[in-house]
Amino acid sequence: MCKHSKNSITRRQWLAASGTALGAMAAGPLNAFAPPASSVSIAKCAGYSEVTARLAGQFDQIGGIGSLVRGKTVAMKLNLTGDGRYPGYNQGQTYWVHESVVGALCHLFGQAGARRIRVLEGTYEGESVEDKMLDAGWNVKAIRNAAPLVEFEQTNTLGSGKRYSRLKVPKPYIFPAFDLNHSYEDTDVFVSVAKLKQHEECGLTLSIKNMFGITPDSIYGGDAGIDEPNEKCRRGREEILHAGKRQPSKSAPGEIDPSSNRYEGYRVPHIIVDLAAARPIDLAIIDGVETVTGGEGPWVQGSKYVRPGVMVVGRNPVSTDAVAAAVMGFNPRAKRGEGPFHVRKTHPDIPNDPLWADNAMLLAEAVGLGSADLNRIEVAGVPIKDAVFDFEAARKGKLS
Amino acid sequence: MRRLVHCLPSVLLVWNCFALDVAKLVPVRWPGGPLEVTRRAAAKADPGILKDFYRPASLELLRDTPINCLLVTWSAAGDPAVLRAQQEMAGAYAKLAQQKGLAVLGLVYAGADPVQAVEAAQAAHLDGLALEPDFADFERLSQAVEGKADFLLIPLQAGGSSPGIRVLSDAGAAVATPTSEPWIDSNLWLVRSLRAKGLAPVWLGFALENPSADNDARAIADSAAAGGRWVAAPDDGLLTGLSKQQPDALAKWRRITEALGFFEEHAEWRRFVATGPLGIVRDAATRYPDVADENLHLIARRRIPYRLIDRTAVDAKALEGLKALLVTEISNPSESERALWKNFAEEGGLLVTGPAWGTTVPKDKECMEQELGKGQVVVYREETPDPETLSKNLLHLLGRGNLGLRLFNAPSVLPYLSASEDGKQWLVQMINYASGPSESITVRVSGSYRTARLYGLSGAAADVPMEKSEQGMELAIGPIHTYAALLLER
Repeated sequence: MCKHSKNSITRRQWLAASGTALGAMAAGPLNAFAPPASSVSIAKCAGYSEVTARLAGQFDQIGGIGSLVRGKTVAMKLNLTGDGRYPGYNQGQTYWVHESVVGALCHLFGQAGARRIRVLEGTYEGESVEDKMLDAGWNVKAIRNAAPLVEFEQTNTLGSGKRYSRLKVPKPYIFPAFDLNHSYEDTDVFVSVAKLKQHEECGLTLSIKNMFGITPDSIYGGDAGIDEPNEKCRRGREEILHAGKRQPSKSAPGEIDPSSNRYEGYRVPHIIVDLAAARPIDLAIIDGVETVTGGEGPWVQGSKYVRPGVMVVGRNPVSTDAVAAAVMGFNPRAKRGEGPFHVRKTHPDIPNDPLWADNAMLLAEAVGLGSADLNRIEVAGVPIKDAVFDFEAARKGKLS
Repeated sequence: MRRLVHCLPSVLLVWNCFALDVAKLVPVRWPGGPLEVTRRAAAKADPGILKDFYRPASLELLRDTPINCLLVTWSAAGDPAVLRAQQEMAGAYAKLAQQKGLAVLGLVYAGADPVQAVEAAQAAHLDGLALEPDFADFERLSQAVEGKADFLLIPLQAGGSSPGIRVLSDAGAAVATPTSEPWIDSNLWLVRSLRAKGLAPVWLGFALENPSADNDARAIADSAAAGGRWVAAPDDGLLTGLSKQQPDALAKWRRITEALGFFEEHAEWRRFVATGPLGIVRDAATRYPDVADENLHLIARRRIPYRLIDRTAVDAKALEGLKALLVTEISNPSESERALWKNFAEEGGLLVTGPAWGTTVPKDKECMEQELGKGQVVVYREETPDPETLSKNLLHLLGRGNLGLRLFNAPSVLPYLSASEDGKQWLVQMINYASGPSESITVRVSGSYRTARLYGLSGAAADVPMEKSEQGMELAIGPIHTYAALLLER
């Protein structure tokens, strides 16, 4: 297991401390608790060739990462959702985080003294993370060699672990705890590496929404075992997590209230906040150098390539997401059905689906995970007003 | 004497051919003459160059090319006077072509009088006739050719389509999913299916939707990789440009003939046999030939290398080396067939079957998976499982790590894996269906090899360094423009 410096705090200690704090918070009214706000850095980044330098500067702006990662195991959950391509672009240029960002992070964490770096993502049908990357044209060897010890693990199943790790949600909305691949527990530092994108069902997908993919399909997928995980799973999370048509495998904790609202615009934002509480994010990285507007991937009709040329980095995921939302031209405090949370759906099979989603940032703020209040967040680097890239205008072709 | 027997929809055609080795014919559509002009005029197309195309000068376009067989306009429904003039002109032209060593087949369109076409072709000493895919009067045709030696009849096959990519998001109502891939139109599977049915040669007769040097080369490679031929068809614009010696036209013509020539230089690859972890048992008497073909089409799109095995040829030896066996086409297995399949699964194989297996699959389930010995049996409830679902499940059940061949970063590329009869050479042919070059591709093959050599339609072949990985050998190759082949030597 990992060794820790005297001044460091282990993940378990962090979880215990967080649980205590949140448990205390739960005893009183939510508004009596001031959620933490930490600085968030915005950097203009014209292209991925300069991303290492930009990230290094951004880490300095948020107080440095040396004390966070030195001598530690650092796990990065990447957003490598789905498959397919936008014509003329690869995945990293559009709806996945870019390989240069991943390589730069491995390099910078290694340089800062990280003992081990684990690159994590859930993949379909038992595909290894390396093969998924290779299939997108990534230079996997370069990423592996970017730091002294870089490992990869696909987390949709048990993977290399012997058992699932149960991580409790201090103040749950829907799930009291989750059973996850061991990699989400066996780490000292957890990094959510997300893409700056809109989302068809949730409005936005940033560092908190990236957590959706930490749930193993073996337990939370449509063909999860009824009693035990199905290690040969091949279906996604629509049935259990999106729609709540059935409960996860009985080996894992079920929902607190299975009769609660089944609408995905309600469920998914609440579930991702539960996940971000169960597996706290130590560092949020949002890649907006190149991305897409109008949806989270090529399966969303009308979504298209854009080039905002920006990176957003912060220690607190709620604050980081709030700043990122503002950079996208949205009000991070928009309520259900407002702004980006008035969603645009293109599923022809659900013609009468409601067109709202809850704001996960406000839900996270309400349970004390962080502040989504721009007035409380110190923005370092480029001011928001100078970094704004209006996603809606770009989607509508109104951006000059 | 070489006898070729070919089963067509309603008749058996017997070809007796002494002089020509049909396998070596490299055909090209070579339209011209008054009948072609009339046909184009009826279709409101500009006949342009075709009116006077059958002159000695047009034969010069074939100099130094691998083309050795012309399909000249010969017969169609219409004015008998035009037909006579056509056959007179084409017959004279054929004579000149034959003097240059070219074979000449008369092209017969739908609605033509087959008896007249055969008699006129014989009178003009044509080498035979090529039948357009929509020609249907086989009964009269077979009577017309009965007893006639040295006369070729080659049906151009229907069912092919312009190879390329359709982007789902551009297709209106079509909706992609998080795991969707571009829809590739390819004829690899069709050529394989026709060859497996005993058809030889396999000449695909479709017209290209958008002729261009790249599209023509791709169509040639797409059919030739699997041992067939797309009958090259220079369009009127190209023929006009060639006749005027326009540089663009000459360059395009060079690309087309270069592609044709490449596959003649590597004619030995046609004798390679398909290999892969999946065996698909075909039944010539299947009640659902369209579903069977669609299975081949979609399994190829999933990039699962497969072998086709005729039902009558299935024995223990034929199953050697396979990891999975698909037998859904067989609805009435004999006891010996069942025993063979059962043994295959018990020994560790994956057997994918239908209701004929005898297991009752609940109505709410598409299929059931059962352990059998060291292996597994997957039983589908329906006799004709949805091909899309079946191909997807096959990929999952086999596992990407067991395919023997994987291409990475190649969504627009389909591979065809074959091996020399002695198994010492493996050939990975890759066709890029995108309009532009692919990105750099990584190829992973199982097994261990001494050398790897990369071929393109033009330029010299080059050795490719290999790197050993946990799953086999990995080769980083550059972007593929239209076609590339990796020849691996054990």
